[in-house]
Amino acid sequence: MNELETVVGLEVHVELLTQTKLFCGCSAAFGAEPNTQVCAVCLGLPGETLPRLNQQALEFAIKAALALNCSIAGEVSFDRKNYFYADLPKGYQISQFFQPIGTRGYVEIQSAGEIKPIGIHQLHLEEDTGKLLHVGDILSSPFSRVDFNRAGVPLIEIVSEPDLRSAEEARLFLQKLRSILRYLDVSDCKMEEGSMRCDANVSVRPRGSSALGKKTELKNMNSFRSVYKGIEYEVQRQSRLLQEGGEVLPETRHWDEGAELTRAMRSKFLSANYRCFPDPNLPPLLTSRERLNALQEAIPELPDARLERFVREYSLPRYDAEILTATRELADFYENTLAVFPVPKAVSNWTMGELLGLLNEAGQEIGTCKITPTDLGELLKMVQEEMISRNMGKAVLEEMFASGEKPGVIVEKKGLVQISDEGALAEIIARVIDQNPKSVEDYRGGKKKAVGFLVGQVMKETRGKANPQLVNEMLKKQLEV
Amino acid sequence: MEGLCPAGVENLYNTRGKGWVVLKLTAEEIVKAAGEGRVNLTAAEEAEVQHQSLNILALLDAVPGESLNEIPAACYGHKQPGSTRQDTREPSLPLAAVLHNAADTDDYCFHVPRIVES
Amino acid sequence: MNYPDTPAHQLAARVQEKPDLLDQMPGDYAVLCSKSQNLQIFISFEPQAIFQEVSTIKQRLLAGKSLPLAGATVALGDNFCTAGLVTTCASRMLSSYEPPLTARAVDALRVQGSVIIGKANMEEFGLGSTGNSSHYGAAKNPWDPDRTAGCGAAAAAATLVSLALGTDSCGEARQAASYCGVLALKPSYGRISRRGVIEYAPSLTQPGLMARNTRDLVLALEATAGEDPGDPTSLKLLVPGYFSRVHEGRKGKGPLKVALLEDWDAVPTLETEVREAFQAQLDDLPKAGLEVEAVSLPSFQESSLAAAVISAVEAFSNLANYDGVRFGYRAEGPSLQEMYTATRTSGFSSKLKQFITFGALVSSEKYYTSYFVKSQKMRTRIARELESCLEEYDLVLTPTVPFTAPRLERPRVAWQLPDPAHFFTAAANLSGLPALTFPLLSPSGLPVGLQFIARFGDEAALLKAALLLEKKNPLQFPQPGFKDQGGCGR
Ligand SMILES: [Zn+2]
Repeated sequence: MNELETVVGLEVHVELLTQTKLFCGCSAAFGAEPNTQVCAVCLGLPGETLPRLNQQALEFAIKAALALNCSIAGEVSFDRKNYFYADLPKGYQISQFFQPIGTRGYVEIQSAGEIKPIGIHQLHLEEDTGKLLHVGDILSSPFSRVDFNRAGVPLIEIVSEPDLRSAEEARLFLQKLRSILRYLDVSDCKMEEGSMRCDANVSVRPRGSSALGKKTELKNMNSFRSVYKGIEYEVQRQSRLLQEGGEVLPETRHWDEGAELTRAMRSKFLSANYRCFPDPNLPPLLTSRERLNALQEAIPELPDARLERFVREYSLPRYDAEILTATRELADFYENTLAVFPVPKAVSNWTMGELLGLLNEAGQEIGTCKITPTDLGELLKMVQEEMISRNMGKAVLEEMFASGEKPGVIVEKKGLVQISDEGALAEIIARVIDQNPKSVEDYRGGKKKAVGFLVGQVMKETRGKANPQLVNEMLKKQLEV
Repeated sequence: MEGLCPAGVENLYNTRGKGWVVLKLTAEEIVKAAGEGRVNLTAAEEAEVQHQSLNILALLDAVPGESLNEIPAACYGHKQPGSTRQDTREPSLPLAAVLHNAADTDDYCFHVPRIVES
Repeated sequence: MNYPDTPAHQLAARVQEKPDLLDQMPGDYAVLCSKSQNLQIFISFEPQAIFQEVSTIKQRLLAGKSLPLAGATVALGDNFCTAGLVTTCASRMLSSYEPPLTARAVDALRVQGSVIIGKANMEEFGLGSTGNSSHYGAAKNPWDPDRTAGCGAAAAAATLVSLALGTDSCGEARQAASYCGVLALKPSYGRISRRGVIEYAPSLTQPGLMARNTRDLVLALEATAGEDPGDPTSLKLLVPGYFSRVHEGRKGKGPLKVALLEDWDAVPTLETEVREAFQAQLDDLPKAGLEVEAVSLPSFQESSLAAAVISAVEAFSNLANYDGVRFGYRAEGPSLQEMYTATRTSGFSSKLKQFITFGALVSSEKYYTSYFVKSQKMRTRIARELESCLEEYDLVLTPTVPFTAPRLERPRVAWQLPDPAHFFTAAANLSGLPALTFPLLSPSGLPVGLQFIARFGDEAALLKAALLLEKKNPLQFPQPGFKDQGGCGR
């Protein structure tokens, strides 16, 4: 059998960050008590299923489509996708079947050092469905409970072309998508909370073939890690099947996170050949050139462009620039810190090394960090001016991270100002030399390393406040006399 | 303004000026369509839908399709472009009103027969 | 004073002056409506609710409010939502449904001072007018209780109310008015808000207004027309002052130019009664100031075909929310989908189930293009043809229904595709154009309707024509059958 090639396409659903639902004024906020954010419209009550389109949601969708390099439809129209299910109050979902807002776009990922464009088949706007809850364990629950708070929350669905050739590429694509959408501020893209959801169409075929193999649709992958692992598992499973002379069944499979495998599922859509037709209640809107231009102009600098600029403008290594531009918040943080302390590489080192370390440890994100860019800048200034040592700086940063206090306040409170006064140090150094004749002898006898012990003693005497470089120089001078 | 097809003639219809044509519409198709609308029909109802459907589909077939080629499909009754609303909160229904008309609920949720997905 | 018998505009004037006149209304109505019970005109009728409506209006009048419809009595088709009052759509499915909100058109009538008397019986979900799908038994025709009445119109014809509201998706409100001998107006699509109106075909439906005289119809239209931000298909056109429009002269424009549908009398289902009544009126029209010419509208005859397909597909989707979960009747089933099927199978009437099945069929992949899209194209052609005709003429004229009210015990068929009752009426729904039916009497004394269709937005032309006919044809409401049944005993 020939070598097999992986072919993956993703369908990504992203909830938009609007105040209200797509077609009614109910709150779209996450986490309310069940059925407290529903009205006659989103509950599909008789005579009340008259949708009124949310302007903000429409603009978010158009912005996203523009940022993904899509062509924008000349008119915005909506269709009913008809099927019966417990999470669907009207018996149809309002979506865009015939004319997606965006088509034929692309996103670039960096795969194996190469820039690779991944096609976007389409991007469309639709409403989310409600949620099924259970009483205790699903199998022992006597009935299912339905909460319609999410029903009608605006979603965009982004469908990629089957251009992805590995689980890793799928993960990179998804990360790039998240990064772009977060830069646009149209979604928070939290896979764990369900504001970003991803299904994958996975197939394998002999390398060199242009025909697509039989594909399976993979669902229930709730993190970037599980997208990667799910696809990886499915590729292995399908390859094994084909190599054993079997056949891949075109089916929907469920990623079981605990067992780390995929299972065929009985899906609500299995028998689906659902009907779609234009929603008579939503006459099409025209998208004017001017409106599109205005939205295009409102699109901020996107991650790729910002990365290139960081490399060019700040002479940062590409690796640094990639990390710093991964989210708009971090990149903003970096540039705001630079405004106070314009030493790009130093700020990069501190941000990537120290700050991200602290954030990771605490499981926090930059958005919720108590340290402001101004405070970090001030801290770096103190280190540069040798007011405090690098190590003290790290200790102060930890304190800033925990309390949110300004670096100056912490340094003063703890008496951390570095002793760089030669007069004050000379006295201590003389004492240390007196008290450690053995080390002095060793040094003078050629064991140059002995100076380290003596520096340590000085630091100990000053409880770490002495400027170590200065101490080193002064000691050597004294010992060489 | 031609009349309706004679009752009892199954699957064979006179299209105006075009002679008789056979139109296939099986009982299975009717059962499937009813299922997709989540209704069960009695045998008599199935036969009636089949008869009525054959009747009207034949009449539609008699409308020359070529003459409609250049004509756009009308999907809306509305004659103006659609509009949008601002993204501002409006009151939702009180929980009691939300659950008031439902056949089976608890304090917060609607109940449906247990759904086991996988 | 007899409330229902007095034209609303006259009643309003009197009540405005003397609000105390309203006091006896609830009591009178309790008597009136109990006497008419055998006609099954109302599904719900609550004297207590009337009492409350009346006292609110009286307070507003005493506070010095001017209410153009003060005391005007209204019957609502039971598919207009009324908060706190059961709204059934004449279906088992909604037999105990209490909507949280009231239809916008109903609120609008109340603001103007009218009193909701009750919820009128109708065809289940307002679908068709053959008269045998109501869960509560068919409403009977006040002219002949052996015949069908359709929605709401019977209450107006039996002089139980001055105004009635019913939905008009393929012509149902106009058909009911034609059967019962009252006026009905289906405005331009979007003219009256559909919020709170339970319908089966959203692209075709407008609330229909019914009354016994043109002046009352004008008042009802003025009260209910207008933009509603809650209805995405609500018209943003300015609502003209219909009253002044209708009464102002035509300023050198000469008589109304009317295009008579050529071959109107070649419709196979046309009854002699209708042919004779309509023909007699045609001969009189020039005297009434209408200039009539026969015009060929070749696509017009396809309208009931296109309407049947489009409305069935829309009904398939629009009635999918009746699933037994959030509201309405529910039958149990072992699984979710079986529960749905059990609920809908016993919650909907036989006719509706068959109609939904047809809708599912023609929207299936196999038939979508060849029948559904074809019907939508036919719809465009029918609309264009009417619109271009109306560039030259002020009105298009046809009979309203090819036959008189069908007999209840011998319905033509349970239902029919296309529905022959829609033959003349569906074109106005497909095109969104306003249409009106004016009542005539056949030689044997049965009501028959004459229909006008006007340019988009030009309801005034319809009302004007109705006013001209009304002058020549004093309207009659003898309701012989109604009296025989014990009637209102006026
Ligand atoms: Zn809502």
